[in-house]
Amino acid sequence: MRRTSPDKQLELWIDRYQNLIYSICFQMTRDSFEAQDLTQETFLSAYRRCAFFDGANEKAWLCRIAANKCLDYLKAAGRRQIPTEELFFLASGKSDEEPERQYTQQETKQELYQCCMKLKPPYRDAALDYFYREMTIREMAEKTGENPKTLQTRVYRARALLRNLYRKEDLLNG
Amino acid sequence: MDNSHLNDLDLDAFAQALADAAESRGLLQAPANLKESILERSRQPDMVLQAQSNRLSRKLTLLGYGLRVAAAAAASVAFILMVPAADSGFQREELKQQALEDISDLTRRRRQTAVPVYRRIQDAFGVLSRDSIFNLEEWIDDK
Repeated sequence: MRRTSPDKQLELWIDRYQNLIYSICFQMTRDSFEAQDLTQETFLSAYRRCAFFDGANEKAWLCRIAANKCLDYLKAAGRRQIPTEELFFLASGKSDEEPERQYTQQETKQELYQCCMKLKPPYRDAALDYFYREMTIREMAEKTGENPKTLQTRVYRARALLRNLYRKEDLLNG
Repeated sequence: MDNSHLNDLDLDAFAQALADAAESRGLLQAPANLKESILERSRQPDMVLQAQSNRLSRKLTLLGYGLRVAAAAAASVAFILMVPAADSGFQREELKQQALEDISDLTRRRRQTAVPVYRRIQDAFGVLSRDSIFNLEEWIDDK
């Protein structure tokens, strides 16, 4: 039986479970930027530790990593928005929220667009391309002709600015 | 909340339930550029080094276990091989001779005891010894 290389294995895991892990991280943090970061950390942690994985239940293994990452994030900043006990209710509850979920996603997208437009160039364009249009750095480099490293730096900076904007709005809205 | 009483199976079951609940609620769509971002990060030298280091560590641990088991098995085999060599052939032969002498001595003593007993029985039950199917006198005379 041919063993899959770690790089190929990581790609397979992302293809299968990225939506699941992202959903769990968003549910626990209620922050799309943090959910993206935590999803990335989950897969990278799995990639680093794949040698110790016994191959029994990869979905459960990845979800455990994601849940631990989210709990660490919440503990680190003292943000106990979702107490651990409620994880049991998260795990057991089910709801018929499909229309509401779609509406929330659209609204989130609209809110993101408005926040991106508040940024100044060149961060505005970088934020719109990366966060709103969900382009990759490579695609952005091909479109703009700029150095990928430069674009990466602008995306990081734009992310920090957007986070600040979101937090200000959260404080204003209560 | 203290989770130290939960074992791996419990935590896996809980994680599976978490996944099932997220799927039943409907999954959110992860950003399209997330996969590329993760793969790009995984190719960076520090990440590759950590992954390789963990793989090597796992292999070394398994090798260590294997060497310990092999050493224990080799020591057991060596011990088994050494023990019979201490028992020389001469000692075994001597023991055999001694055993045969003991048997013949025992037989001789039994005969010496059995004859007077039989004669007493014969005297006491004269009729019975005549009708007996086992004639010890004949046996004694033959000897």
